[in-house]
Amino acid sequence: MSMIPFFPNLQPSVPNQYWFDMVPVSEESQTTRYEDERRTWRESMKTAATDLQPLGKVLTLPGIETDDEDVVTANDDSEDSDSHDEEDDETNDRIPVTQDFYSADDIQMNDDTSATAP
Amino acid sequence: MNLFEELDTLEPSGKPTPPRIENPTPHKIAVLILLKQYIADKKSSLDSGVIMNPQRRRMFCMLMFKIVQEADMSYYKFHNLLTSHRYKLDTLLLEAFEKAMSEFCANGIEALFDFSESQNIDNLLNESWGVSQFSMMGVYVRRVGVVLERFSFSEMVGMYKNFCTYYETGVRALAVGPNKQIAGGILHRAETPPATTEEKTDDKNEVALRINKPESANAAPSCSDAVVTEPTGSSSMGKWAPKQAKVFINKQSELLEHSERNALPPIELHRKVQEIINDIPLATTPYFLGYMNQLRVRDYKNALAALHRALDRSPVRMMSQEKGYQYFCVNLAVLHATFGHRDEALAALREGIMLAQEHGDKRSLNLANTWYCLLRDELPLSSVQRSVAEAADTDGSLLQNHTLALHFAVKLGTVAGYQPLRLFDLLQRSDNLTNRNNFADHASEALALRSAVWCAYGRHELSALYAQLLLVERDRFCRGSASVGSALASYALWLQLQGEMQLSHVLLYRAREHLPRMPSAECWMISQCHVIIQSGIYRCRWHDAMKACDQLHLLDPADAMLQRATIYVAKREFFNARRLLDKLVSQTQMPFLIRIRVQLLLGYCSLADGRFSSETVTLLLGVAEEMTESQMDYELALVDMVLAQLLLLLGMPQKAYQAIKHCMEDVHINGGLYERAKTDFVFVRCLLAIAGTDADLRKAQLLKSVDVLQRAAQAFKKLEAHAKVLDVYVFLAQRFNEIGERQLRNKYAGEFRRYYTEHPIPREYLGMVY
Repeated sequence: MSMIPFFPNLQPSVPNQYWFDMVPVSEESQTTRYEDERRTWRESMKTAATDLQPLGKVLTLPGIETDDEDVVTANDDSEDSDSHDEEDDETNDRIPVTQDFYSADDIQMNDDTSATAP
Repeated sequence: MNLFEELDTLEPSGKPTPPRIENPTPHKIAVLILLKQYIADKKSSLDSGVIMNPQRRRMFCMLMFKIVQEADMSYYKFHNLLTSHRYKLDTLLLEAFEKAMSEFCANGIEALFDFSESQNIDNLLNESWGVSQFSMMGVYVRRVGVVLERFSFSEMVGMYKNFCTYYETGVRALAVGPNKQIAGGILHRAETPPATTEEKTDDKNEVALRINKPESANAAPSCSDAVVTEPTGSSSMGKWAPKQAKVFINKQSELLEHSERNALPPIELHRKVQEIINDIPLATTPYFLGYMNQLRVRDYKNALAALHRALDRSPVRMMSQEKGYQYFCVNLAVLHATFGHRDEALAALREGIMLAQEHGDKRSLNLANTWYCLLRDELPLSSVQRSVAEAADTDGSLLQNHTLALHFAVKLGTVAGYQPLRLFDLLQRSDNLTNRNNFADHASEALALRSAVWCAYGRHELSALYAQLLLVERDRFCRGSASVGSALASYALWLQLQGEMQLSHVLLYRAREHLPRMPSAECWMISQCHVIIQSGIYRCRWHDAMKACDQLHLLDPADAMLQRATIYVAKREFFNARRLLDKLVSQTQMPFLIRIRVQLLLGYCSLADGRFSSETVTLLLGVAEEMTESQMDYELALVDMVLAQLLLLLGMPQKAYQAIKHCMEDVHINGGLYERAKTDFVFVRCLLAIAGTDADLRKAQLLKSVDVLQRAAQAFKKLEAHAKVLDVYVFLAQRFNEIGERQLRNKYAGEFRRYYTEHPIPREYLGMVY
């Protein structure tokens, strides 16, 4: 008259996994994203500023018409070497220069006194 | 961490943005240095054509696997792992690694810059002799490399300083510690650079700084350096990465659920959870682990706060649809249920059900319904039948619900006293489902339930066998800890009843270790109370038994009242016993087994008064009929035994003899030692009674029965039931006196005297009926 039945604990577990169905972060995709970003940044370094012309040059494209007075040609020194570009300079189609390189406002091109004095 | 990032995750309409990759820690750099040495080794062996030992390669891979998944550790622990017995590195490899580490620190920051070169990283990921870039190790390497590449100069400097501090702390610890001097582990610096502090200064960081103060110029560390207690991972030395945190949380939550003893102790777990929250604030799961930890130590206020925090942190959207708060409501209900707040739990469940229906979430609706039934202790049978019918097709969670429902139905049926055949039918169906779908914990639950059902219907031996089976197979069912608890409790009580007190004590101790806290500790606590009560009844220690009843009252009031009534009956205080029994009879919602036993005790009460009446006989016969109907054979056997005693008193020896013969088999198979010995005693008395007045016959019967009575006396001695032992000797001496066998009479009188001097029992306890 002494044994009693011991029932097991019939309860579902405390944490229900359904609550944590979050979008799993794939480490592989995250890493590849970082690597791709890095790689494109590096690639972009190779082609960076290729659209820029050397000092004093302008890129001529069929584009917007600008005033001739805005465009300043190079000084006498560069004219000698770049004589073949003079013809291009005569066309009317020019693109406006940006502030990235020196314009005539900044440098006194035709000044006799130059920085490198002999 | 960016505040805007945190706010973004809480915004309901935004899509989830993937988190940033964490900054590498010195531990990770050290792991990569080790990997680099190994790959160099592998390359040289490939070039030279000598094959590397495959066992060594395998153990190295296992070592890497372990390191990648665990949290960051200090250099001291890392080195101990490398030289541990299981993962012992090849000596040359270990030396090369140590040399590389010391050179890294000695050669200045260029070493770090060289290391983070993309070419170096690519070398590690080389196809022919490196790790595959898509493997776990490869992703680990790439994650470190990709962040190192982007570091600015100041970040590199900080990284380098941390690394040097990490290395030198570890080397000092190793030099002071029990290991011998390591090759190449010489400090090239005169003083340690101070570790960089991060924006968040916590105590551990300051401790790390204090330990790493610039030492004097001598390289030999003094023993007053308390460096062996190295700083834990929350300083800049170690940081939790998401993957490591995930592995840790999954493992700990699994352990907390199934085998709580093997999880980390509460305080340490709390500390680790705080570290993870510090390092990865946007994740939800550490908050939930913190909640489970609080629940484990039964800290109500903190558990509630932790649950709210986990809710606050959880994402509002899941799979581009509103998730809603139904799961939170169900979890809140579970919290209240764990602490026994039934009404609050039911209120939370009602809200959860409403929300689940609103969002059309079938899973959470099922879960909420399950808990609703469990809390109200009722189960609509129609739903069980319907769910059993459609059980074949549905997915895993619903199937688990089905098996749970079946088990619950079986439990309710047992408590209510249904036909055992139907209950076993339900169990069979549940076994079908369980075996087809490999639910390990449901299988162990089913075994424990079978044990309980057999026990309730009186087949105690079978019940004990099932309990033993569960305990033996618990390695296979390593997840079913709650069922193991009930099996331990049941088997411990059985052993106590068989007279094996020591074994019972061992089992209860084991149960206490396995399940230290409520609510899972309930089963072994009840078992322990019963053990003490039984032992008290046998030895006539009424006070101990009463105290145990008081303890039992907190766990199971009805059972406690029944036990108290039993003690009164055993003590022959029938007035008190009857009072309690009447109170029990008037209660309506009682388990069937307890109702039956109450009737039996009432029978005892009327029997032992001496003023018996035919009413008692009618009562007992009625009870016997009821028991036969519900197939409770053992209780029927006990009724027969009482009936036999009653009939002897009434002077109907033949009928008494029939009754006792009827019940002896059942009692001997399923009864405890006490019942068996008592039955033997009553049997002998009946035997002598039917011999009548014929002296020779009586003598012959008596001499035949001496063995039986000796066995009964032995049994009573084993149980320390001294009063009963003395009863047996008195009976024997008196009978031998009647038939004139003086020698035997003296023998047994002498036994009586000897036993009485050893165990003096008050006279009033002799000759008891119970």
